[in-house]
Amino acid sequence: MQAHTTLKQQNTVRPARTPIWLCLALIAVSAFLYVSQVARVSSINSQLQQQSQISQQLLEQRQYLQLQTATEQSPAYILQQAANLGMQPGNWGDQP
Amino acid sequence: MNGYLYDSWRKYSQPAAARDHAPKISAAKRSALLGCAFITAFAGLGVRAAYWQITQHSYLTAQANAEHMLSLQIPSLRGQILDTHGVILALTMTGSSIIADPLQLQQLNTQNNGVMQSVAQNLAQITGVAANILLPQLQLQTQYHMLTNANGQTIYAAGPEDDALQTAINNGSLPGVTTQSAEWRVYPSDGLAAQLVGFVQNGANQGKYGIESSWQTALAGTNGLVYTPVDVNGQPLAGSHEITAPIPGANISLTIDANIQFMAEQGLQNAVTAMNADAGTVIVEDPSTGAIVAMANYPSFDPNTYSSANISSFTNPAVSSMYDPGSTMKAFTMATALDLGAITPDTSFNDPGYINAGGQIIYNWNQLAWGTETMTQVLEHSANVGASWVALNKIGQQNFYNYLSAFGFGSQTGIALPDEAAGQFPQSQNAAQAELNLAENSFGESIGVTPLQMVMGYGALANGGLLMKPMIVQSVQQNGKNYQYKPVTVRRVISAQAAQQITQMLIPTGIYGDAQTYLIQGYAVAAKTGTSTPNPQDPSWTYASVIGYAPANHPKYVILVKLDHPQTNIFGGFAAGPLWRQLVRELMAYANIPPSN
Repeated sequence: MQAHTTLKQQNTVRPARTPIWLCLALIAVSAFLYVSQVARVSSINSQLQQQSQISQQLLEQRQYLQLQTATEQSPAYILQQAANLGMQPGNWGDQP
Repeated sequence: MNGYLYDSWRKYSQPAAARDHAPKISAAKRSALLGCAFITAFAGLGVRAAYWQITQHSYLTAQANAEHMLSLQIPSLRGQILDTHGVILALTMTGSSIIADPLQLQQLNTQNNGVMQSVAQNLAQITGVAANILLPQLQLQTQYHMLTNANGQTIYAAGPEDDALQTAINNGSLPGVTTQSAEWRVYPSDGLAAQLVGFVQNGANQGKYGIESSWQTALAGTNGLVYTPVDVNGQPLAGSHEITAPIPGANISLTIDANIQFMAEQGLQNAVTAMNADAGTVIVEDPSTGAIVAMANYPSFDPNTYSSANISSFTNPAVSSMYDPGSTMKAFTMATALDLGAITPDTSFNDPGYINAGGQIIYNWNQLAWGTETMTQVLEHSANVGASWVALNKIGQQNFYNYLSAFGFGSQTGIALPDEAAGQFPQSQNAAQAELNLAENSFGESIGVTPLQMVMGYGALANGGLLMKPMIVQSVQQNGKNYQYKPVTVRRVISAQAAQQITQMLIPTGIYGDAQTYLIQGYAVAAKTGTSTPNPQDPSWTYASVIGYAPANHPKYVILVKLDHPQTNIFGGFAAGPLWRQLVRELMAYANIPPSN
């Protein structure tokens, strides 16, 4: 009977508790890391979107400039501008 | 449970009668049975799991992805089409189309009279489309309407226009107006080389006619793909996306020179008008490479407004229409006989003004008898009788058609353009008919050729007897790489000596014939006129043409001018000659080729 009591007493010895402040600290650190990571990802996403928009704008500007160049390089446009300056095409016909 | 307890439990758990007679099964055996049952059960589960995980994996993944994944296409940017110097002939623009909500505008207008006019004015200022074209569209009884210009085409805004539009929408100057991102094809030279370039159908990255059609795969590129998870409403979620980047279409540089193309188109339009012709074609080729420098047709169209053009003007007659070439064919008859050694330029022949071919009498075009004449004079006089005599008596049927085939007639040239015709020359089993065909074909009647075949054939004469494959694409640029196309020699058709001889024969032919090349001061050119009358009922219904090359001794350009059914003057030299001479003068100056005599 005495031996049984001793065993019961031994079984009810509680292990040392993890300090509550350590758990809170771990949670806080994890939360901080998570939030900062999410913020960083979000910030990079935002930057990517901005860069993508800028890239699209630059593409459109390049296309617009190419169109302007192509228009001004076209023979019909050059002929029109030359005519506006008072120039006339040479006479390429048969010379009597 | 120890052995004693187990035995007791087993003993009293059975009916009293059976207790003493039940066979005793050992514990080990029972454990083995139980183990087998478990193994069987787990094996069954494993097989079933393998079935779902391995055999049905693709199907189930697809099913799951269909519910929570979405694939979106990223359109690739269509490539440009450029001339040989890099002048852009076709490009794709990115910007916005303009969408109005007329019902909202009408509601706003009831509250504040004049809003609609103000919106129309503001839009007119930004887009350049007149307010009186826009206003009726804002008054439609519909919710959404894509605004169009006076030709009924969608109004697009790009670059500064697009920026101005967005600013105006954001600052409230354009209530009831929004934009939608759009891509559209632009042809900046207002229809230059339209039938050669083709066009792209609105709203689809699909080329129609010309280079846009035949080079569709290269120009279109490959669309990209975004594979993204979606929420319950099908909206893409932020997070991991699988992206396959689009591959932009290739830029295609043509052998066409925009300046020469413009000269040809302007000249052709004037010639067709002056000669009161139905249509016309001009081709300019570099005989040493087979490069097509210009390919013009009239009437043509503006690919920017293709929807309002006549559909018959979309095809390219220079490669897809056949005609009887008339006397321009005589150069091939003579070249064949020269290459066979059957004649020399000075071989003489008595021309009585007619010849019997298969029982039919053939006359000269002017019904004259030229008497004794050399082969060079046969060309100068453009004598049908002389050409028939050479074909019937010096060449023969088999040789004649073998050479025609070798010059490229009767088969496609292989140019990288759609809808090319092969041409045809009739061959009959009937001896008399075959003889008549041979005689008529020798001076370019009853035979169908394309303008391009004629140019390539004359190119062989100009190129020392070597037939080149026509080149229309000079290079293709994609992903920073430049694929350059090289000239392709198809075959040697005649000897260099025969080519030299026919060139020397064509120089006086041009001077003394109707081509009147003496009017081209300072340059020796080789040329031949042609007037075919394919309709015997109407001899005035002709194809009038001049074809030749310049300078004759070191040819830089082969030029064909062809007018369909001219009425002011029906003869090749008089109808097509002035433009041909004009083009030679312009091209010699453009290429900085100094006069030789």
